[in-house]
Amino acid sequence: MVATLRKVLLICLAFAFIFVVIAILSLSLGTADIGLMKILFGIFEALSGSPCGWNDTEKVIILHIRLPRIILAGIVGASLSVAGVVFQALFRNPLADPYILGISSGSAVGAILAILLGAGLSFLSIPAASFSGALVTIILVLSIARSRYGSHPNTLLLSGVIVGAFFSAVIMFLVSITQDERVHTILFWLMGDLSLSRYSEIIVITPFVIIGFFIIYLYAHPLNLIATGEDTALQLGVEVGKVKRLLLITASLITGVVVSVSGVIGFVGLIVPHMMRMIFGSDHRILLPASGLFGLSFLVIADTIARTIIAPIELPVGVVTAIFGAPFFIYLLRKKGLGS
Amino acid sequence: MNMVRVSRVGFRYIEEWVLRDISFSINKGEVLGVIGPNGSGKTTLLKSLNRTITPEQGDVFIDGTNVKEIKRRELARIVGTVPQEASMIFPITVLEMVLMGRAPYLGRLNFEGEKDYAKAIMAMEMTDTLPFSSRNIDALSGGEKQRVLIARAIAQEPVIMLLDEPTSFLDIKHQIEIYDLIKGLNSRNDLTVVIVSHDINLAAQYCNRLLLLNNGRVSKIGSPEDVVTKENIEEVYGCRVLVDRNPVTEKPRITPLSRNL
Repeated sequence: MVATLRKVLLICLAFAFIFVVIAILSLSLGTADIGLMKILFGIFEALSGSPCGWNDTEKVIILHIRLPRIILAGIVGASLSVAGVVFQALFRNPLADPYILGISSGSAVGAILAILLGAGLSFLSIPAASFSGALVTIILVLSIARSRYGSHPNTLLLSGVIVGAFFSAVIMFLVSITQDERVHTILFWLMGDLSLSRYSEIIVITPFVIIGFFIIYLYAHPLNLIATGEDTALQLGVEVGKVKRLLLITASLITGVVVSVSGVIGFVGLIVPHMMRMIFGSDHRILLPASGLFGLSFLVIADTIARTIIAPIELPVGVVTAIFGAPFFIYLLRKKGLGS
Repeated sequence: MNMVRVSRVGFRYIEEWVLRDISFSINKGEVLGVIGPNGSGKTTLLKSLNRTITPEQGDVFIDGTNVKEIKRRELARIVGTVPQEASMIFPITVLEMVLMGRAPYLGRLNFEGEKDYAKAIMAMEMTDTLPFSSRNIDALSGGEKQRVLIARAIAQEPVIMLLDEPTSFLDIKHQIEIYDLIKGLNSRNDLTVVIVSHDINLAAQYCNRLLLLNNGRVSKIGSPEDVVTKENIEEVYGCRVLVDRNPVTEKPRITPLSRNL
């Protein structure tokens, strides 16, 4: 599908609408039974300025537990999806995603080290440490994968998986030597969990994510050319080296900041872009916003499943995405074959 | 008048020099064929003309300006490149591929306008690729794919077109079609063409001049009659050949000979 501005706007509107519907459904689902009608009336009343028909308990559950969780899940899902699209295009590899490349685990190590070293002083220190972890990982993975003859697509995935395994071991090590209650915080990063979502986290990460999306979208068309081949992109006027560096840093930034609030949630950046590519084709001017906006809904659905499927027990959302994502990865691997 | 001037260019990927002290000029509106054995540096030479690589030594000038001083976007409006092949990781259609040729002309928002579509459609008409414009690139035959890549370069509206072995995967009918197409572009639009070729006979038929590369150096440059001689070809390619004249075109024609004859 050839992108026009009109098509992009229409697709964005459609996905935004889907997200609103899914968010409202998700608000009504949970251990405490709040009917869909009650949610709708409450929203309607709030919008029209009249007093809301929710009692105090319902207000707390809806506004301070479920709503921030849904918003955060949306931001995380959108970010991981967009980062996935960027990594897939830059590395010309449909199986690249922040989790497979080890970047999520690297971010988590950064965040955990910041907590253990007592970086509670500034609200930015944990996202910053997480971003640094992401950058270190991507540099590490790229230098392992690069040989003097250029890098093979599978070498990149393999080094990502290995670096990810190494960082998971580092996290386990940190868990083992930590004696106090911070163990729980660390475990949370390992499994990917949104149950502790707070508005303060949303406020901290949103600006970074929005600036990141904006920068990435400026390069949507160059990404098309780079995905076709680096030589082709150079020959069609793209400063490939410069664009690649900028986008790697930006994708690491959004991955890092969302991992700092959600932990390691795998496969989102793989599944969402793939679905969008099947529907809309490979033009990044459509693919990026479509993946971002569908990513919103996707992780909200996954997280709603996580918190309701065996209620009252809540699963970490990372477990849900992995249970669906890992078989999907294998399916893609078999379909595309291991060859380059 | 010189369109391209290559001055003492040297390049190496790792240690071995692939191009050594190469100097020559290309005239405006000519078709220059680059021939030479495998590994003689033909593709690397092409890549130094469009600055896909930057030579370690020497300079390339286009219309008197050093390519190092031309912005890539600007250079992409002057030089169009047709690669040997395009392997797509993500599915794209023929139209999308041809529209990519408009990349150096896109405005701030990076969406193609009416003019860009018009140019792309014209390029597809010229290459006879319009009938399958909505098909997937990977579903095309080698010849069709090659014509799409040429259409993309035409949509780019370059002054110089570089082609890297555009006929290596094609049967003879498609080979001739591609060469006729390129020759037509050359004569109608005064396009300067550099074409890397394995096929000495086709290159001799269609090119105004030939550049014979050997081991990264210019062995000979001149008219097909001067370059395609028994001595030159046997020396550079290291095999016995028969050189005679094509009875139709009067151009030199080679036939490789078995060592046992």
